[in-house]
Amino acid sequence: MAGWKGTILEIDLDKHFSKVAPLNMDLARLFIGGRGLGARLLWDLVDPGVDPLSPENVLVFTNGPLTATGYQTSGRFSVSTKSPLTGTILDANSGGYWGMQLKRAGYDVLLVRGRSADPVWIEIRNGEVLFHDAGSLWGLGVFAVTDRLEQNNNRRNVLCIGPAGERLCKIASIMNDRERALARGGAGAVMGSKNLKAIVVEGRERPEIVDRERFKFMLYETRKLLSASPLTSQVLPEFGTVMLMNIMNNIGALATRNHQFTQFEGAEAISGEALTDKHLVGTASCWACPIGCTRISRTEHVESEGPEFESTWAFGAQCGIQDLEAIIEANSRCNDLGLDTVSAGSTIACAMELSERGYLAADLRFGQAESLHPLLEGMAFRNGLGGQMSDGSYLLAERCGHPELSMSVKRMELPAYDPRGMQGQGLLYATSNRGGCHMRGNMVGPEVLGLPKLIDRFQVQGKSSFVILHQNVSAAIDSLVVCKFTNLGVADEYFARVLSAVTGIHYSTGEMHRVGERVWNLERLFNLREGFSTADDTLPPRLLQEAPVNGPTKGWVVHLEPMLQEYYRGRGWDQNGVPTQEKLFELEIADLLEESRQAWTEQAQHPIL
Amino acid sequence: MVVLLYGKLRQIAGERQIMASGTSVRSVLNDVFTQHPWLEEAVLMDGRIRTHCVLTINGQIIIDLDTPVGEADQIALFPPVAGG
Repeated sequence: MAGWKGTILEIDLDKHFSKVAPLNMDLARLFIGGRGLGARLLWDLVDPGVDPLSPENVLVFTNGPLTATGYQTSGRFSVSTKSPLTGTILDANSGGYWGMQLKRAGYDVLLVRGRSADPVWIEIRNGEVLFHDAGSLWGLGVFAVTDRLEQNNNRRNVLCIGPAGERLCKIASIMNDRERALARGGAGAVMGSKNLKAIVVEGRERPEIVDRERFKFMLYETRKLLSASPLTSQVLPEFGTVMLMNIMNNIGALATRNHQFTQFEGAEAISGEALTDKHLVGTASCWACPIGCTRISRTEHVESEGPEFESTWAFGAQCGIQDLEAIIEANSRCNDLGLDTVSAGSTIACAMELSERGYLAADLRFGQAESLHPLLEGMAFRNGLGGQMSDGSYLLAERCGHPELSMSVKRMELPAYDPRGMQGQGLLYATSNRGGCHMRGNMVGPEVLGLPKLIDRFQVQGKSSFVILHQNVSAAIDSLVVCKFTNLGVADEYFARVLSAVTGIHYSTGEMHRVGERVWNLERLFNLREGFSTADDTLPPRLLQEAPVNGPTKGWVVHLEPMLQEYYRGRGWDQNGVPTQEKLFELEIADLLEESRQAWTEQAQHPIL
Repeated sequence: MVVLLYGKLRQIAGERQIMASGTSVRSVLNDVFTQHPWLEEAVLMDGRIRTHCVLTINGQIIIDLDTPVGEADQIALFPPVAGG
């Protein structure tokens, strides 16, 4: 067996027991690894209606057949679970070193079940699984835990939760390698609900590669392509992702003050240019990554990785804040507390609007940089005003009687790109299987940046085919698992070729896209089984009804309905958004349809959230 | 009119914005390149906007260099950017 190790390490926290089980290689061929394999395992492991924070939910950590081979950006890994924030299927993926180390330890999958009676941390080392008392770690931040458990980037890697995960905050992240995040959807709360503080991995095994000469050639080709692309060789290493701030603002697609506006007067002050000029002290990269997009930023008080574009936006334009130092420090604080920066920032923005409109009893106003630190502390520790925000913007706004002011899809806070200026992005958000997210495909490439070709961002008709393609490719890349930035320089075709070289199984480019489509449809079935329907494929009312009154997107709302109908047809789904039997048969997952039909009928009557 | 520069283009020109004149995007750019010759290499290739560079007029993305402009318009020039 090559690429895959063929093993699942199962950990039962009820009994503090572990065993190694074989990986079903038919499933591995169909779903590859990462997000896809995680979704398929989750389908069998989590019954419909399970409370995400109960012992019946599971955490499925997955790497892929390329992981630890040395292929460029193959250090990534994924966690799959049922999200406490959205109630949907969730996967989040992260870079750093931990995923590579899990593969070197000999496992494709780490499955965590049950709940420990007391706080525990797990050490996986030299074929042994050790359960340690985490009493002395409970309550500590991510940075302290990572140091105490002796993180060493190439030898020993730490994954853990912070105080937010311990307190089951529904926007809690899982952190690895100190400042890398499995950020979105509240996976940190699932880990906290299991009383699991950390997982430390050490490994020395090397994955087998079937055609080593072909693989070496693919390494060479990929290196050449990444060097030739200005995006991966210059833009990301020199300026990072925050360079998007000014362009999104210029075209009127930068969500501002809880999406009340589409341009921010302080964008220049929080831009990539400003970050580079004033705060950048170094760069870093994940394992086997030649791109190196990570920023190291310094203020008077912290030196920290990041902030990325989304985090800078969430604490910046979305909150009306143009104090870049405060934003850098808020990002760093979230990493230590184990909070998703996008959801945390956007929830604060929601609270600011609720407060300004008199719906929330607080003296909170847009632009108050000094409010960030205490609110984040309160969020993570569930106290004070911040404590009302621990579970994200939707529950906060609902408690205040105005759920429409939560800028979320399926209760997950939206990212920076305001879809009123990018119609395809609106469709992408509405149909995202894990909620409001730009990592399920991102239309900023074709709609704004001309990647690979520029299309009309305001066009509605025909947009769904681009969205479907981007979603499928995204799912395939997340299943390999490699970094999506690689795809800026390397065409999909190369991923199929390198996967074939490593595994000895022939994958064509078409088959790679079919894997992505299979994963997307499986995730759809999971959500249908949980009671979700077409009614959930929508956007906050503001984006559908309130047009900007000035700027480049003046007069535009998202014209979702026509795009949605076109999308369902393009996906091969019926008008209720349910995958047809023919489509599932074509994708080799028709056996799951009947099972899901029975369950989703029952679940629709008793939704879990 | 004002031509705004970002990222690498700002570093090349050493300025955030340039005052330039012309009646079309092409003529305005020619004025910009007269002031800062190195920018031409970074922005144009074969007489067209380079792949992945973005030019906007008042926030609308433009690819046709013959698009007319007026004194009150604002042009912005972005080098390739990426991220998520």
